[in-house]
Amino acid sequence: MNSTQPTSSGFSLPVPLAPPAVGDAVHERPRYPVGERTLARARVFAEALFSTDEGPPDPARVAWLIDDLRDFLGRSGGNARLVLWACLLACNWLAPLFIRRLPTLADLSPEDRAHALDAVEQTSFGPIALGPKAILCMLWFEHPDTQRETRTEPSCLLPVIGQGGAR
Amino acid sequence: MTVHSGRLHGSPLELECDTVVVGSGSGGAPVAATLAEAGERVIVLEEGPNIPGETQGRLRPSESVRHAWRDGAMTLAVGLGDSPSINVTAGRMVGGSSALTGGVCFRAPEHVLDEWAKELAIDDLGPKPMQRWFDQVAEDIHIEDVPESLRSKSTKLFAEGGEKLGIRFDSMQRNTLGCNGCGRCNFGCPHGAKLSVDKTYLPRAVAAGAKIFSDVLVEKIHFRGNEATSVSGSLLDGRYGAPNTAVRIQCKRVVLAAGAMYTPQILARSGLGRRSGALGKNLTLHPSFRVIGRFDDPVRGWEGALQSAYTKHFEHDGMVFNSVFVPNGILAATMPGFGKSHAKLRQNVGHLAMFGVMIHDDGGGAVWNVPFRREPLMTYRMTKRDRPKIAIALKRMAEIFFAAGAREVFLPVFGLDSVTPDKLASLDLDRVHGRKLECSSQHPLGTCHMGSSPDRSVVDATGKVWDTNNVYVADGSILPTSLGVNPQWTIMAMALRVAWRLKGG
Repeated sequence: MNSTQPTSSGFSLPVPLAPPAVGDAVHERPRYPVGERTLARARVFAEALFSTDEGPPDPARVAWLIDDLRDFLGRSGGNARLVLWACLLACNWLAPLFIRRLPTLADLSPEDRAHALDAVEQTSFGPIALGPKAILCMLWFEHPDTQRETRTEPSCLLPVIGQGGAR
Repeated sequence: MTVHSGRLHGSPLELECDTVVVGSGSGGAPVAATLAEAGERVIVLEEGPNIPGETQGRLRPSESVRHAWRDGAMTLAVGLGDSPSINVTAGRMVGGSSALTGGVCFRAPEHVLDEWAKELAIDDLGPKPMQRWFDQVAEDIHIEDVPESLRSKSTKLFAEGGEKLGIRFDSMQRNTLGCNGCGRCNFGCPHGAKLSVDKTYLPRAVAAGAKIFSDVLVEKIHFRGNEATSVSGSLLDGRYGAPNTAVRIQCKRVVLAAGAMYTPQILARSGLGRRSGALGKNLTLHPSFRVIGRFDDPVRGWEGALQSAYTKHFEHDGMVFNSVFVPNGILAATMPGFGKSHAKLRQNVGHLAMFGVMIHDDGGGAVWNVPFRREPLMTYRMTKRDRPKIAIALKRMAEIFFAAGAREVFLPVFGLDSVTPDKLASLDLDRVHGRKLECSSQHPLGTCHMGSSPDRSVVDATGKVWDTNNVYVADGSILPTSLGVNPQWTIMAMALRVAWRLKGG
């Protein structure tokens, strides 16, 4: 063991690391293609999750959500895609059974889908519904209209990169 | 100061150096800075991308999650028996998880350091000898108290409720300078106020001549006898960031700092650490739970420091209550229900306050290599000593929220509606099965733990892997036990301790 006391160069203001080269910034990198079937199941799930007393959510906002989900999954690593694919698949086929309906979630009305998913959430199978719910809610709440409606506009975010965020 | 991108290197990466450091987070960065400043030729290899501070500040939370968090924050430790499954989040970028923490810094509690020194017979892990390493880190990353003025209303309400019940709250410490309470530390500080290692130790390392490579996956260490001669792996320059072009770094010494999930994987692939059977075992996670209270008045809990206060009141029961907040979307996702019922709740997210509890756990988890897969499998079995703490903590936190004036409280139990004081009194939380509990962790520790015997530990008192001459570990995996408090300060202190011994030869 070196017995010398550690000496500091003294704290000084941080020196930033240089930005990545052109084309290497994370939002400029190519993203993994996500299966349309997975995205369709996510749309079915989202229509149920975000329906209100007034009916299913605005299709344009759902389209934005699914487009952002495509980007999210395309950049999040293989395990994330696998987990979300498995959760959505399980919800699609299992959830209707919880309200004694067949065959898939997509075949139900948004209101019935919500009941089915609600039933799943109250059992030990709850985690399979939580995965998609967490990701979709996180993205949904980043839509400017949702932020306006719920008065949750971020107060400190620097201007985003490009339209709709740093994709 | 450049970070070299493995993605753009364009040809096999073959280099030679004195020390190769695998991982650029709280463990690897202090080692790289210390050894580079001592004149060594240091190469740092990081699997994740380089996301400089300015870019981090422009990312929406979900964008930070997709670009900088490992696996889109969907890593799971599978709960065994009556244990909850635990969502384990970690950073995957230059700077590691350090860039994505709330910046919370706690010294390892004295009783924990005492236990390490006495039970492992490693005297200089005691509180007194360790103090200089903690002091050094505090100076290097500017650890300061969070002023009360930065507390969010969410934190203030909970602290007020606690004080009515005789529970005192103290200010936390964080590695910040000029924080203005944006409440989004977990997604990158927009003002560069959080002094994570990508803003402190790594620039120092580069200034002293170290080379940092991002987008490099290290898979194996190569040996001649007990002497490591090189590490190999791949540049992540294939399609969509897949491993492709070969990497080989010839070196005199290897320091692994890939974290408690990945360091054991590299050691196992290299045929190391098998003698004791301890490699990948002893995983502790600080299982954490969030309790949410709904108030009549707006709370807007995202305004103010993300983490600012805590109480030691339950420390001896093995629990620490910490202030915390999460993005509104995640807050909404924790509300029960779908469709109409959920709509009413998510409309009220601005009225929700949140507080967290972290359990000081025993080592009940393990990290397993899965054949033909890069990602390890984690399992977690909560010990009989720890499991009852969940019900106690959740009930206490709900009581504190009610004392603060909450109308209803949401407990982290799947599908459970909100509770009122009456419902709380009749609720038997002990009987809620682990599978129904929503649990998270940001602190995987202990999978290559330090010890004084090669039959019971993975690394020796200096951080050297038993049965090797020159392979060291300097991350959270070497901690012999969990801490019961946020570990980044301790990880950096332990890493400095390892690095200074290496520097001394």
